Amino acid sequence: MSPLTGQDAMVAGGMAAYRALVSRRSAALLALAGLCLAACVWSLSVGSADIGLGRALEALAGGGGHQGAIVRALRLPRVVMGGLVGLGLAMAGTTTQAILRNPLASPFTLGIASGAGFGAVLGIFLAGGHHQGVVAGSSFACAALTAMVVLTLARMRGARAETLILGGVAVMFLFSALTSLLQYAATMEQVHEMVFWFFGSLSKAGWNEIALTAVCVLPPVPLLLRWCWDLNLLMAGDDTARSAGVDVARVRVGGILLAALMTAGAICFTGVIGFIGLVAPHMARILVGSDHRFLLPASGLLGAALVLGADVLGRTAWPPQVVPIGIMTSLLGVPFFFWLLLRRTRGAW
Amino acid sequence: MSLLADGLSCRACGRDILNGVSLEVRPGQVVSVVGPNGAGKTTLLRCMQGMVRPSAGSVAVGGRDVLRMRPRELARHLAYVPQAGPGTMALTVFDLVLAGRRPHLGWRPSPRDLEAVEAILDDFGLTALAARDVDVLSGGQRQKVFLARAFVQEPRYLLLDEPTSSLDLRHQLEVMELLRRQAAARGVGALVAIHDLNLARRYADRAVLLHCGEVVAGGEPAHVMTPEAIRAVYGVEVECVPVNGGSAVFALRPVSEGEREEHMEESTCDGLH
Amino acid sequence: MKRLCACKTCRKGPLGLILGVCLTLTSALVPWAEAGSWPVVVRDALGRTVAVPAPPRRMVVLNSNALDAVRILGAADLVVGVSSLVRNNTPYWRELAALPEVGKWNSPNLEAIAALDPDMVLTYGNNPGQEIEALLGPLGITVLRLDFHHLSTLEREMEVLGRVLERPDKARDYLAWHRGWLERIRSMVAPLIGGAGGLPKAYVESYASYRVSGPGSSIDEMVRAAGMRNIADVMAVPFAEVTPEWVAASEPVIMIKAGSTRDSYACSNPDWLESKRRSVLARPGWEHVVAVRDGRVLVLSSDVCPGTRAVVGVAYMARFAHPELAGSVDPEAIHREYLERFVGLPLRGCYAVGEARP
Repeated sequence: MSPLTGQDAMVAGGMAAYRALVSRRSAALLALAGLCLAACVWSLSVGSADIGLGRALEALAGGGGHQGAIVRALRLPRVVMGGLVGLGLAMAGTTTQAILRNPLASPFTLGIASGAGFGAVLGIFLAGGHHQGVVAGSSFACAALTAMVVLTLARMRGARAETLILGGVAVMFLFSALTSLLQYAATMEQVHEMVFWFFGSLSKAGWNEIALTAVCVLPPVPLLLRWCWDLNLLMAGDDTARSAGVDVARVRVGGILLAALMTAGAICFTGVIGFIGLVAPHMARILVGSDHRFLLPASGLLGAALVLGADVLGRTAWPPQVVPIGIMTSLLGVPFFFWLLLRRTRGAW
Repeated sequence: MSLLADGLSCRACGRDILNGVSLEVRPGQVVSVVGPNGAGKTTLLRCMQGMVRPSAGSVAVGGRDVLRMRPRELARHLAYVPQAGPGTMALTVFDLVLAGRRPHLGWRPSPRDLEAVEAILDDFGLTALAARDVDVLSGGQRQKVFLARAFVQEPRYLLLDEPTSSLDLRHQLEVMELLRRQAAARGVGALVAIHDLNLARRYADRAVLLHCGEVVAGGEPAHVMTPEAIRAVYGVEVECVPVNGGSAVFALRPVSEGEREEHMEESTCDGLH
Repeated sequence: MKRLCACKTCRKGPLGLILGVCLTLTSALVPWAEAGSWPVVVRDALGRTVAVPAPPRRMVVLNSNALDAVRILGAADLVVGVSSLVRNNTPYWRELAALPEVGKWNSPNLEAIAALDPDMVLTYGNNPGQEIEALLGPLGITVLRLDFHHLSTLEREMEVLGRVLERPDKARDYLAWHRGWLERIRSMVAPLIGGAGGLPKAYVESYASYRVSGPGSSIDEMVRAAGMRNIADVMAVPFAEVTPEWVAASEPVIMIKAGSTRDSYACSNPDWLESKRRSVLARPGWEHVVAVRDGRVLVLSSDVCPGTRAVVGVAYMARFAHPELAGSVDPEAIHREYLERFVGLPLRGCYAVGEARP
């Protein structure tokens, strides 16, 4: 492969190509930030109360009178919560995929969502669906417990990717069965509440809930960004990563814990919003490649934009009925998945 | 400051893969480990890297036990290149090699890091591929990328497992040349598990012959890889032909079981890695 | 109710005789025929025709509303098996709660049913699935599906059951009471809504949070009978999720929430319903909903909405929506009448919270 003539040109060409790639990726990242912002604005300007964009923006600044109060109290929480949830689920998904070196991995496949679902169902069964705090707390606790169980299983076997995946699948089946059992034993009223928890909803979010979710979703972000080199190396194989100085077990365990925290914090209030943790990283990869310096922030922004977009579509498709957000993200996610399957010529990444 | 393995023994799946292996790699020295399939070469390298816990013995670099060192610190001393990487990987060549700078990286790659990567890519002739994803490269190109990653890590010692197995003739020579140059210029030592006996004889300062997990011979390559030793360990009849001031090994034919047993002290070991 | 025609046509010679015979034959098949001619063919809740071969002597009742109806018709002694729903309110069901349980209302244990040797199973229209007809039919068990859920179908279904259990007079009795109260409430409400205010707007929420009960749901019928307008009457489906913003924008002055209580009959402390009400009032951002801001949230137990006691629920709703009726509509009195007259129990328990007492 030793170039004969034009060697300098090829060398320069190679480096120039790389630099062009990096600037393209940075541009894509900026574009995604713009998309996310646009989604926020779109979500703010749409609603049943017929309040236009101008008023809505006024309301952000504190004005707008009565309508402004409605925007601040009923529309803005949706937007903020939707953004947080999308960010958290997408970044958790990206991390899980890198750590398990599996393109189909997500915190959901690790059983976290099943654990959270079981916790919510348990809370509804014991305390009633209207006790928001109990349901969310129970959901979070069970999700955390699930993560612990999966990690303990993995620890006993050396924190290999395959062990984590299998452990997650086993846990997922366990909690699904337990959830079904509780649903079977519950009263009709409780069953209604349980079913709708699984559909997902941004309507229940108030500022307290948003604060709690933010505490779970935002602090892990800088930690994950610090680990982007480690995540890059993990994709090259455990051996290579360890050789380059990555503490593989620690990154794996820590990554799962952070991903679990972000996921649990996101869904314990809003219910199951699926596909974001799976689809956002893949979409981001198509735009910015697999370098986690770009991929992590890109998938976060994209996840937020997707959730907000799905929410707006759910609210405007069939007013005043709302298509639950969990259903909306699944409906949008499945065709994308088919497209991904049919399009991919090389591997699954 | 040498890399020292002392009485290494390693058990896996109820078998002794390594049995009392001791060797030393000095700075700037290229040591090749040769032996048939299943001799324990890969396990030896993994033990040296600290990835596999030996059942007995120890590995030390610069007097310090590798098992006690933190990964980041160990990475400044040792770099390991496995035999094969995972099948798919969507990082660009530049990014993967840059990731090899991890022990030296701060929050952002410094200009020095970027220069080092560019220099290595140039050395390996990979610059034109800098923006390509690793998983679209050929096996040989991919192997070079992994090697480049290890080189750019600037360790004291390189542990390479079959670094030339997928390379064509030209690249085999190039890589071994690079290894020698690094060793000479920067005093980087290398422990290289290699199949090609001629490459081992040509580029290594010392050789270690491994058979059934034990060191059968060690020293100057020409003295280690004698026709008698090769017949005993590999079961192949070879002839040494003089070439260009040195000598090369030419394989004639496999030896029958009967002939072999005359020359061997122990029975053949199973080819389990 | 049609009677055998005794008009001039029947006395008018051969044509009249033929007509008379035809009418006799036809009326024998009509569910409202007076003469107890078996087998009878009735229409069930799904509109299908079901042939009941003989008056049932042993019944398994899966539907708790239907169990109420059976008790009203004085046929409780014919019941040999019940579903697990009776566990929700054992003091109310009394001796019926001691009967063998055959499993859940929507997935009963068919073998347990068969072991009781019934000749009829009373269940909901849609649950359990149609397979139970196929499985129980060959054992000689008739499956009769009656909901007793919607105000609009309650009367017809009560008549059907009265016919099947050979107690049409008791059915008539109950229906007269039921209709009478509905009419009275309607007439009391009518003058109030004719005025400038029109129908007060209500936000009606079903069991799950943020799910409205829209047109087609049973609560919707009750709400309209109580003289209110359901803000969800623009919906295309009976149950849909809505955003809080939409609720606020629709400006409902009243909110009605469906709740349910275990052991509602024995309960002396409406804690469960109260905590529901409190959580609604505490929902973040809902202070912009007029009804919540003014505290006009009524939580009704599912015992009184809907079913055979639906008029009690309607009365609660009417009084809540139109405070001027506070003196003239007394839901507790209606409830007491029902319990003493049709069930033989004194009035006890908690069924509604949220009203401002006069």
